[in-house]
Amino acid sequence: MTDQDNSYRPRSPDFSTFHSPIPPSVNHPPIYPLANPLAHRASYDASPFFTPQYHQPPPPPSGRTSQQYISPFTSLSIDPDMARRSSRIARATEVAPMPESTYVEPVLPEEPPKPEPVAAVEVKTKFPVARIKRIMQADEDVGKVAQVTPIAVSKALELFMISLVTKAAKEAKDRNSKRVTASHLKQAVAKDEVLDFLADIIAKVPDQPAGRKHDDDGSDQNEQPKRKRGGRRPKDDSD
Amino acid sequence: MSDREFSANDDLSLPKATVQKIITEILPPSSGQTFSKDARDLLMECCVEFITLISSEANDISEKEAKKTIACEHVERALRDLGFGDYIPDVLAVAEEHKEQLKSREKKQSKMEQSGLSEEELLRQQQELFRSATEKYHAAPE
Repeated sequence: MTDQDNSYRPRSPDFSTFHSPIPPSVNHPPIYPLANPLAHRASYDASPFFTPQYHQPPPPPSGRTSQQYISPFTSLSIDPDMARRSSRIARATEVAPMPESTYVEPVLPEEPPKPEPVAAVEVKTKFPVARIKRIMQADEDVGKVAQVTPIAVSKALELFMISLVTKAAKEAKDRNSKRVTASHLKQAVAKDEVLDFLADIIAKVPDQPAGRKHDDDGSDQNEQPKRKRGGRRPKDDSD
Repeated sequence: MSDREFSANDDLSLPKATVQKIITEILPPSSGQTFSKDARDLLMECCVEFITLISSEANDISEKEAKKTIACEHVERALRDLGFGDYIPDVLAVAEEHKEQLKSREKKQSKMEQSGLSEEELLRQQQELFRSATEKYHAAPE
């Protein structure tokens, strides 16, 4: 494995070959992080590791049953009234060849494990609801608040925090820093339009602790980091 | 709870320990990354700002509807309007959970009331218990 600098990549590329007979649902329940409502779309889309290739055929059980159900000529003899089933068959045939030709090129099926925590983080610690309510009502305009409201807000806050921390951690990682600093958080915030409301707060933070490697981010944070990330992954596309 | 121990200024911020705990849950030591203190402080400010933003937006929405109380649906709409639509399913799930909890709590209370007999009967039973206890107490030392 030469992908030391590219730690998002799986360590064991042909892992899937060993497991292919077993329905994937058994070993990796949380393997579809894209469906998660938490997914930070922006960063995923930007991420080189979430190429559409990853869309594996999701139905694990059909992979097994279809093996005996689909005879080689079934796919040839689809007649018009079976049109409704055609989609299912199409899927089945797609899956069926797997056992026969065990060789199926593994399209990096084990990709998600690293970035997955982004979405799958589960925070057990809860914010004190009374405090949340007080912060809400610190604004004089805000009047009465229903009993559930602070609870809903504190859940939203939890998700918000997960997203901020994860994004900041990613910034740090992209800069090979193990310590996530305020300026990493700042850069993460600056990248996301939705977080514009934090502009005043992050304005106080210096861009990068002076003296450290300042990879041209003083100029414009909105573009630089993205370009950098894009440029760094030739390896990924080539294989 | 113990919120009163803090000064008024701290009151409008989040408890540091809780924030730190959550950060550690998001970035466990196994991740190899640590979150610096200045980043945590900044994060806390951002969080407070987030709460303020959501609640003032939700407040506007509720006012437009001529409602006096900010309800969950106002928060939901605020989240959507502000670009945090992703959070809504989870937020609603939590709110729903809370409502369920409230219901079951109410049920428990009313069950207590119903299972018991009338108040007079309960009172009589209590008096009886007191009496027997006193008797026992007086009987014991001698």
